[in-house]
Amino acid sequence: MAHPARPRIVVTIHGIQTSGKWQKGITPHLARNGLIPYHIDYGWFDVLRFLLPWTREARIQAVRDELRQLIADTSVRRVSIVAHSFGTLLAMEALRRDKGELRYDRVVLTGSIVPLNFDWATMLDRDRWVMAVRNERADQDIVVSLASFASRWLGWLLRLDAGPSGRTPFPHRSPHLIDDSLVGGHSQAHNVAKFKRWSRFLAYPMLPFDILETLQRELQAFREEAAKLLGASRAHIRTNFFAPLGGFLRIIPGATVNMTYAPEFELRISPDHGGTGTAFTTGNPFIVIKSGAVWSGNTLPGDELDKIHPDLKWVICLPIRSESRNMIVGVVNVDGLCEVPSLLADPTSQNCQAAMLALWLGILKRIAPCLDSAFTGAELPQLEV
Amino acid sequence: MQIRSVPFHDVKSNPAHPVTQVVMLEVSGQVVVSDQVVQRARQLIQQTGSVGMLDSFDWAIQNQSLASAHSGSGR
Repeated sequence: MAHPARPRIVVTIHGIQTSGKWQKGITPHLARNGLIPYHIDYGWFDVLRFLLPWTREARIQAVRDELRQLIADTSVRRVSIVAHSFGTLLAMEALRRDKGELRYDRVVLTGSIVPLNFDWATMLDRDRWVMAVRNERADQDIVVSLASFASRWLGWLLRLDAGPSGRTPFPHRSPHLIDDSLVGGHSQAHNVAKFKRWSRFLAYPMLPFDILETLQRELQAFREEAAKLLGASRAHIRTNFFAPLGGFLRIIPGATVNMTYAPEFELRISPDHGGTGTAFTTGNPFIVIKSGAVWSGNTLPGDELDKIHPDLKWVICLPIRSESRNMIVGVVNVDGLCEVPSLLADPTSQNCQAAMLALWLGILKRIAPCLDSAFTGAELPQLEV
Repeated sequence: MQIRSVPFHDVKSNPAHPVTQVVMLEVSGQVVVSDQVVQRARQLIQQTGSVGMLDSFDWAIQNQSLASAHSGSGR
């Protein structure tokens, strides 16, 4: 996805011996999270055609062509995928063969027959042809076991490379690979609860309403706290949250407090630019203070600087680290449309260090769990009375 | 434990034309609660009266969550 305004498309791919009824079922859940469904329907595909190398090969090529055409027609950089059974093999084989031309955003595999030795290290971790994967397994999935059996003992004849990943976890470990399992059979995961969770997972880093509400509450509280801590007027203090989106750090829609200057919502920050970008790449907090009439030095490129509120005087950039994924997942900024508070006046002083440390550690625990829940598609714990 | 400020701007720039100050707060090593900056930071939070902020601060210190971590790559 090159821009938040561009469509975020989720391609669904069904398996064999089915017309993919679940594809219709998941549609409203995708729409609820602002995602556009695109259902690949290749009709009833029986077991014989699955086993014959040439009919299977023709289907892989057709899906690959359809995905490439979809990306060309919609001008998106990546599409997300929800695939079931043979659909998982179609999707991941298309990706493997395209060697980076075809790219996926977020992928849900269910009843997967993708081989266990699939090269996630390259495609997921190193080259990022896929941004995140959620593998939904079922402990009584006979179909994936049969596909794996056929591949293992008749693979030389069938030219089939399949595996039981719909039943057995991939051995590869990655913070971008989520494994989940349930008690049941091949299509057991096709229910409303799962559709809801997958849609939330696919929408990340766009946040579902409940998580966005919680994040907004925390950012609102943080604005008040920052104003008190720095001895500044709350009217001039703002908070926001940036996360990687489409190759840049961008403000996540809705994750701002007291920001009304429209051009700022279009800010695109490279991961090594300015305080926000460098906080993201180094994992250290930054303070940026406008000393002259204009922003200068190690800040943002000119066209991005033009988007910044003309009264902005200082920014503190606080990287947010996910404990579960052991990585920086975004940056909370607290900034001021007022003169620099006295605590921050000398950015190398012990007072400034203490203020930055207090703000940074004072927000960490309140933001990271929201993002971790959104990343996996989970809901935040509800208050029970 | 070491907490230090690392200026990213050109500190030798002409005072008549001041540049934007960009300073990184670098924390390295194990966090020591008795460190002056850590103590001052906690004191600043206590002055705000925010329980949530204090809870997060103490949790981060206890879990050593402030050492630099590698970033996630862009989407």
